[in-house]
Amino acid sequence: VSRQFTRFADDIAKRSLERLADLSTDVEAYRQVMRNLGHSLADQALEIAPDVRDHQVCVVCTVEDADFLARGIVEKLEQHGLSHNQVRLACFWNERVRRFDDDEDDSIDIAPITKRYREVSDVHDSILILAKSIIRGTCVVKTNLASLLNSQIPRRIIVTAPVMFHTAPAKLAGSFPTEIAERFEYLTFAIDDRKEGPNVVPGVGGSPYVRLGFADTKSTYIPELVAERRSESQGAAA
Amino acid sequence: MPISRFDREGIARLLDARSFERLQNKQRGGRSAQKGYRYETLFGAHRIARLLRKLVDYGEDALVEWQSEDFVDDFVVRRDSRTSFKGYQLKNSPDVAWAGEIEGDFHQQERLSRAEGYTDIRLRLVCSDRKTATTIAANVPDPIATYSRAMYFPWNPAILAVIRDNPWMAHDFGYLSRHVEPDVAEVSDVAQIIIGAWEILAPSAFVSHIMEKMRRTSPTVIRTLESDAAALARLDPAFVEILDRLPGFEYHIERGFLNWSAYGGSTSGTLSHDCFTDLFNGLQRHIVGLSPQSFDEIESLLL
Repeated sequence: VSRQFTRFADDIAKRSLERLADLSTDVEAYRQVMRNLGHSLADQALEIAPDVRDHQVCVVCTVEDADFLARGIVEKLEQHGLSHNQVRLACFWNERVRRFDDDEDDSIDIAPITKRYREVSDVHDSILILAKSIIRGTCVVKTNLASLLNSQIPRRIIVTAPVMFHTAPAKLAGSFPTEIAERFEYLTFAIDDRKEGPNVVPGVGGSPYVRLGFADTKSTYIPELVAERRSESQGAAA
Repeated sequence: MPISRFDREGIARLLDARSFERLQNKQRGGRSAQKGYRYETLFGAHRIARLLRKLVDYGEDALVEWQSEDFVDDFVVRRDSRTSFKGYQLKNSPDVAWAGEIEGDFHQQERLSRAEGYTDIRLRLVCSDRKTATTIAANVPDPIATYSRAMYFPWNPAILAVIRDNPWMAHDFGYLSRHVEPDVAEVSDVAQIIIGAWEILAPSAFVSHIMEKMRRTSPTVIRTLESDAAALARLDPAFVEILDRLPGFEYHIERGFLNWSAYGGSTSGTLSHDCFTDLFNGLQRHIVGLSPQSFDEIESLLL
């Protein structure tokens, strides 16, 4: 058995994970399942961290997850009564660099941020919910979190994904200074311990970029969630 | 006197048989070291970062070596034009003492380097334990005291932690970033790129060559060697006119790269390639051809 469900996984979450793993699930359906899983993860986040209601919450995501998993989390937090201003969004566009341009072998592993959308928030007084469709390694998550925190330490850091690879939580914690790592709380429905190539099995049914429909367009995509929130912010300022 | 480095036979002639055997044993042990992020590579990367600052600011190059044919050779910096040799022996453990092998190695290294023509010889024993470093720094044996020192250099298996805990290190790595004020993640990227480039070019490379290698990533995360004024001069006036008239759009050149922001600063980015590249020129031409009236029209192009 390569999958273990966590205590957070109810029957609905388990069925959703099956649909992600099912390669016949098309892009539109896959996106909707991710959004639903965002709802479920937000419900669980409020269970384990009820103080979320009393503080600013910063939902942190990468571009491919913004309109689906992260949107689901934001929607559900707001449905639970958190105000629109209380829920802040930070979205990152990363490029993965594994080798020098003139080499054929991998020798580095970094994920520099080329672009970011970040709503004003007091990170030090916030609860961070870092959302990703699957946490396999730590490179992107580590970069975005480190960039957001820089020298600040938030109240709580909830690292959430529908599926995590079994080594990822310990690896992520080991990448950060102790005073930050000890704030990590992991929220996932399933932990997988098998990989085929770069993909976790069953994981989320392969590469989330491909399954979400961003095989070649991730870096040029402007999430609707970002566009909506920018437009709302402009409207409020006018 | 010009530098004339000894080959193995030359070293054997200079040294007694026991010292020569010690040198050969040291090399066999050292070359089996693993690759990746570890104390030796972090230290080497930091020395390279400091040497690259001299390259950026003054055009001064240096040759660096790892596990060379020397007694003090965990990291070596040679500036032959100044007959300068600097060797570092690294100890990532609190159990360090001068007596015995280390003192002997420092003595033999000074002798070897002087025979090769070096006149400015500085040898350093580097320790990751602060208390031990203080103790050994205060107790350098008299016979090697004129050219030997001990120093502390930190270690943490989490690179973010070591950078965060040591602002001086973040500053040294950060000087090579494409950002003037890099965050801790950007500083960490620089350190990892130096480590990657150095491991490919090791055991011996000029820091200028390491810098060239470091800049060959997509996106580029290392600064250019050119001035911002030179980068600004690369901007097509028609491109500048378009950017200047986009409502709510701001931009500036930083370390050779175009940085931009919009929507009150909530959305920001850095172009992936510096202003001296064909890719940047292509983007300029494309945007001039589009003649956009708003940031939204070019947002997806700003890569």
